[in-house]
Amino acid sequence: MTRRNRFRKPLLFLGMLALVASIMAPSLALAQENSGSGGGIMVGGFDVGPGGAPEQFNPLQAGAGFTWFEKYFSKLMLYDPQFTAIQGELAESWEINEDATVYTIHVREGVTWHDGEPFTAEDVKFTIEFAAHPDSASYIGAKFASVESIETPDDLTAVITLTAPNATLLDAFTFLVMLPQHALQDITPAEMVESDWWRTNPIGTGPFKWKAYEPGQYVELEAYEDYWRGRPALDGIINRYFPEAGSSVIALRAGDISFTYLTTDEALDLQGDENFTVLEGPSLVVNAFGFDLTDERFQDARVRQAFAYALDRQIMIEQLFQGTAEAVPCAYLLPQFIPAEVNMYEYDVAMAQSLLAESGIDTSQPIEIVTYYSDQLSQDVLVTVQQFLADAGLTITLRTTDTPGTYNEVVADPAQWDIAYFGAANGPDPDVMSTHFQSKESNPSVINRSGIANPDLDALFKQGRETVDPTARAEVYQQICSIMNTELYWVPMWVTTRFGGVSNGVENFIWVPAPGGGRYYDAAETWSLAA
Amino acid sequence: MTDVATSPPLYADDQALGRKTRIESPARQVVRRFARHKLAMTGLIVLVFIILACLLAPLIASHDPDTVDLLARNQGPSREHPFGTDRTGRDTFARVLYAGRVSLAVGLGAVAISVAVGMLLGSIAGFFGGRIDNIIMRFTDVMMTFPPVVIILTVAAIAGPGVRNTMLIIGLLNWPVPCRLVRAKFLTVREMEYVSAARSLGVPTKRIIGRHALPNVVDVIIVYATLGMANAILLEAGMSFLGVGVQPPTPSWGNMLNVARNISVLEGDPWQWMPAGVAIVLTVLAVNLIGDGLRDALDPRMKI
Amino acid sequence: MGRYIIRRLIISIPLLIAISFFVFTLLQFTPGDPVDAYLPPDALISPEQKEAIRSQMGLDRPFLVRYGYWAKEAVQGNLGFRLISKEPVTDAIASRVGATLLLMGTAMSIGILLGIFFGVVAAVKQYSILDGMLTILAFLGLSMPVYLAGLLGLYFFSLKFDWFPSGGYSTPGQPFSITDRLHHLILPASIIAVNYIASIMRYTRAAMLDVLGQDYVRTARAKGLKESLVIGRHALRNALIPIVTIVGTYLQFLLGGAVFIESIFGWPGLGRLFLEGVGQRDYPLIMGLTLILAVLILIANLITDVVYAFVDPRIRYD
Repeated sequence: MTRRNRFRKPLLFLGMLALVASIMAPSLALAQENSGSGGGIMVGGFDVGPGGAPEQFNPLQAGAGFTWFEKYFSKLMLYDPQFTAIQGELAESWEINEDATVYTIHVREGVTWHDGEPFTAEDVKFTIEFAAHPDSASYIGAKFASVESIETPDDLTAVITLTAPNATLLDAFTFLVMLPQHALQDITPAEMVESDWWRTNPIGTGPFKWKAYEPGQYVELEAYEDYWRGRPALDGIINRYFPEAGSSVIALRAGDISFTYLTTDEALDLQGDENFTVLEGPSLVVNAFGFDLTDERFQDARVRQAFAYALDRQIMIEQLFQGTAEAVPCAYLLPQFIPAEVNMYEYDVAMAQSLLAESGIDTSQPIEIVTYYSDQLSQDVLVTVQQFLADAGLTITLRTTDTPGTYNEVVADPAQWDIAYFGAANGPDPDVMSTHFQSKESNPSVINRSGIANPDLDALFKQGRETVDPTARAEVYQQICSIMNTELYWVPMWVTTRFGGVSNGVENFIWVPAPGGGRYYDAAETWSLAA
Repeated sequence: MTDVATSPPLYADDQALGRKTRIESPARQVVRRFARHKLAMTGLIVLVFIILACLLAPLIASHDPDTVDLLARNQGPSREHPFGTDRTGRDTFARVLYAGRVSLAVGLGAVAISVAVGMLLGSIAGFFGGRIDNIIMRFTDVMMTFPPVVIILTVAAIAGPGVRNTMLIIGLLNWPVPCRLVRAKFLTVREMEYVSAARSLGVPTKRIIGRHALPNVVDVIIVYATLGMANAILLEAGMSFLGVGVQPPTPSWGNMLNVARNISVLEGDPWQWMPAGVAIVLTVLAVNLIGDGLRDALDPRMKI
Repeated sequence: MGRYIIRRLIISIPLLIAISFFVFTLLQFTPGDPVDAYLPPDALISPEQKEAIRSQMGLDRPFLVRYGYWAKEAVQGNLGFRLISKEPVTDAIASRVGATLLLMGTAMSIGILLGIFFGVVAAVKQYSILDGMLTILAFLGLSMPVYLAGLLGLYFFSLKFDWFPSGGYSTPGQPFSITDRLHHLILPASIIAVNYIASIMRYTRAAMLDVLGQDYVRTARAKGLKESLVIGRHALRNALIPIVTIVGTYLQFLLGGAVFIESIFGWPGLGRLFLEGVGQRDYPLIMGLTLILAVLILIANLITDVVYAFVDPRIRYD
């Protein structure tokens, strides 16, 4: 018996070894496969980070995730990667009449849906009407609320007539994915909201077409042979989901994926690594401290200015952001909307103290700053801000809500908050700020959580919406920026840089951070894996 | 963990019997037995050391735990900063000590709450039995049904995060365990002759519970309390991971450890999370060892 | 016995109503709205648009009406649709339940096997150096916050040593294979198992020590039986009874999953689904998961009690 035992043990050990070896084997096999001939399948964490919307498949309802949606759906127009101009995508060209009430769109010829049907102006008409239908419950559709009628004189032309002038419609088109009329015409918008079409067999005109969705794991797309720009270089592309963002960085560095969003620290770490390229760009989001102006303490402009003077933004940018953020004078960040003369509120704690003393604010009363930013860097910023304000004589408490939803609920009720730290996405169309700065009296549907009521701003935003000439329009928004800068309803902090990391095995890769991701032409059909 | 009533001791250990000729109070006996438990004593020493260090934090740490110094951020250990500095230049050593006060308080407070609630409901259920028992036990079933994460996330969302609420949530999450333990013990005590005798003599219920029943559950509760505290400290860390625990800038071991989720910090700045991590592991380990030793010391069948 | 089971089942009905109503009420008071949860905080949306989305989600109806509607449908097996993806809740749960069972089942199996083995070793060699080391290791295992173990495990075994893939359930885009699944399973399952090994080992050790002191074990030894036989045949078999009860109480975790590990490893299980549901304030999903979990746990409790009555003849239910 003992002898048999002695014999059995090493055998068992060998058996286990063999098992372990066979389990380890696939990773080796896969590595070889990937380094083979061109084509290949790119795996990435395309929905990691603030621009992602993991496992959300209805692009009419999604507030983010456009980078991925644009891999299989297309839009009429997109921005260029620098977000300076709107360029045609499925629209070859367009004309706008003088007062911005009639848009004539010429769609591209020879574009086909993934099921082979041709893409026509009828699809444009269908999509706009479908999205704008109240049952679609689409905030993107709501951007087309002013559409009065859509005519399609021929297959390649759509004429859109508006009830009121609207210079922001082109920007709205960069949000709206085109939907196939032939596949969806028998479904009502309400049914479509509950439909599994979005996650089982969506049909688009993008460079890749739907292949498979594994819940909680990934979505796989394959190259669309008849893509109008030509077949993509990749054979397929996979979007892997990472509920814990840090795990995506490990996956990138371990070589299991080729792209993911990176935090500032991770980006700085990877910068020297020869296997990866760090991609960066402005977040297009202005971070600011917004005051609850229904609170008497903050109605005094001197208190708001004291807040601004108390913060040493420069040292925070240098140290906490390692220079990867840029101070802004108002809620705008694009240079064309910023006037020549602005007050940057350079750090001056003595000034802050005297302004506070003048205002007579009761400094013993604590002020709460609420935020939804739970990432480490933002938390570091808030702790530092707390210290700066303590130096100026203010007692600050901090509160981070567990979800953005909770934050929205808190700031919807003036009784629940004092100051909020948040990010406001810039358009790039400057009209986006009207919803924050226009008074509720002038337009009841604005967000305007601070309770700002400034007739000058109301008038300027109205003027901006009705002005088509870009230079004249920019001047209007410079005036708005100037008012924001002096009144300081929000204390603007900075626009940060956001980062992505891509493995050097991927060629021609383009990615820039944008609020909600995407909305620019990233030439995904040219991306390829190095041989 | 279980509500299985342990059968009463059948016999004592020979060795112990031999020594028991000298009369010794049960409490002294437990202390003597505990003192002989090497691992438990080590745990006790470590825990006392940690508690003292945290209580004496203002004397030991030369820095204020909340003072931000952006020009001294991300430093490694030095004479000035024994554990280095964190991402905003605060002294990690001071923060770990002050965080320990918070984490230990959360652990103690949570255990106190769960023991109080659990003992109350458990003794009612165990002593009265019948329908009351049935209702209370089914209620504990329900409580134990919910995955802790649901309770933590929803209650934290309603009550808001913070030290006190963290304590409350953990305490209210864990009461079913002592409740079941106490009930099980009561069920056996209730059937004992001296209790039925007392009852038949017309001794008021309150007095029976206080005099005869409660003293019998002290040992179970002490053991639960130590293990429960270890568990509470770990839960506090878990809540920080979910973003609903003690909120920065108030340091707790849990939220200090949370920076490790940033892979750059995990890899490049270990002194920012390791002290808190080691503090959690050491404390929980020490408390667990003490609990284990107490269990052995309180169980006369165990030879130590 | 039959009547006992029926009575327990009948008690379960009001209990389930109570549980579901309790959770439904809790969710009412939870700040945050699913509408907000699926729009980024800086999304530009007017109050009317938001109201339209709310009414489309059915969130504008009175609380009791919504509960009544939910309960009526739930009884018929329809748990509704997820608020955001509109996926049927039953589908969402069905598509995740396998992953959780696999992960937790593997972890528990490892935990039970190794836990009992080490527990027996520790008991037999009581107070030896080996026993001390095993005890300390077990408590170390119990003292580590599980998410730290997960992060460190992923960092070292996936990135630094490259033994295992960096999380996930399978290699994306590859056809299913058992070795691939195992390759993804081992690391997270082992990390979860550490906890089970540690606690089962502690219980086994205590139970074994208890049994080893019993008369019949001495008798067996006195008869001159081999030590391995004494331990394997007599002691362990009797020590297993309390261990089985302990393992029974773990069964409820089988489905609850491991929230932290599933998140860190991107494992598509129920624990992570729950976390997502709470984060998105996905009420139908949370309700559905709670209900299913509650039903399963009540059944598991019942089975435990019944089995217990069979094993231990002293227990009588009437």
